[in-house]
Amino acid sequence: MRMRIISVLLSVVFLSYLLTFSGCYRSCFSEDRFVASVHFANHGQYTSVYGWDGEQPGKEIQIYDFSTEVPLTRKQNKTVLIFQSDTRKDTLSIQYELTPKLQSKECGFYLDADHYQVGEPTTFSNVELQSPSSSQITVYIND
Amino acid sequence: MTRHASVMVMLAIVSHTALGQASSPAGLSVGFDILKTMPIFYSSGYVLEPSLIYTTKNGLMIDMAVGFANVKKDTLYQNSTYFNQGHYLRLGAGGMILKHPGQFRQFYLLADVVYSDFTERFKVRFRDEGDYYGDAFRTLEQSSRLVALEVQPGYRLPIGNSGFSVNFQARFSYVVTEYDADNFPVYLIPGVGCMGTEKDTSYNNAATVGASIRIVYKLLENNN
Repeated sequence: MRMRIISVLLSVVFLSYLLTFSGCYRSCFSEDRFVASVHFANHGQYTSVYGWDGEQPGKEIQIYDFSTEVPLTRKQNKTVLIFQSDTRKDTLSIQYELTPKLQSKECGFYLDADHYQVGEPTTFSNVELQSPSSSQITVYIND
Repeated sequence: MTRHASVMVMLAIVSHTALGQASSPAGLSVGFDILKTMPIFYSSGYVLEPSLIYTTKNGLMIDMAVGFANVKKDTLYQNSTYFNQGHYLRLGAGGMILKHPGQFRQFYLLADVVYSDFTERFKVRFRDEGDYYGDAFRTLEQSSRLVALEVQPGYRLPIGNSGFSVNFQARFSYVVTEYDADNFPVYLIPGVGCMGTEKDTSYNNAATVGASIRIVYKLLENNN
């Protein structure tokens, strides 16, 4: 009985500790995911997408809905996204500037991305880019 | 009885060496910093600092040193390896503090100017958290030419009449030139020391403290 009370008390202390300090934890920018959140005006245009950093194509990501998330590369300042379905294939190039910055001694350096723009090759004619944070960009494909 | 004898022997050695000219600082000496060569502030590499010290009969000192640094540190920032390569020149003047220093009271004070020319490099690995494209690698480089003013109180401990001495020095340095830290704060100024940064900023402190231990050998006596 006593052991049970002690274990319950310890659990309460542990959970309080987690709740107290989880809000104060400052994450490292270098660990942020570098992604493009892509939204389509029309449903069912494409079934999959993959990114290409100029070296080799990435894994295919299935598209089930009006939107999807595709990783961007930090190896160079451009990622080419290739959208495909059984009947069509389109390309979107996203260009950006990567600047190495020092966050802190604990986190070290991170690559800050900004000045996003649509680059070449791109087969879409109506694309809108919004960058809510330096590591995440929102892309609206209105074609 | 044994204790009495040992005290007598020690007194005899001290009185003998106190009379010897080799224990006096006057003359031309060469020195080599041994504290800098120890890998305390870095993981691997070297810092070599030979020096030339001239002391007049009445205790005035001129101290010149050149230094060569090539160091690597693995643990400075989380995702990078630090390299520093450069050289420096230190020119100092001062003198013995006490008029009649004797053998074990050789305190001195030096004022120095240091010119340090060095390049710092970080090899950084930016991890691809999702492992989609793989990690990205970058080398960040920054060259600096800085001038610092220093005050160095020191203590010279002669080793008998051998001509050798050990010089212990504290060092208070102040960087007088502007930092050109475009990419990252300067971490180590060869010849001056590690410069701290204000927390979570990229601004360097201008002042630092350090220490050095030199093995010094007197080449020429000064009888003038």
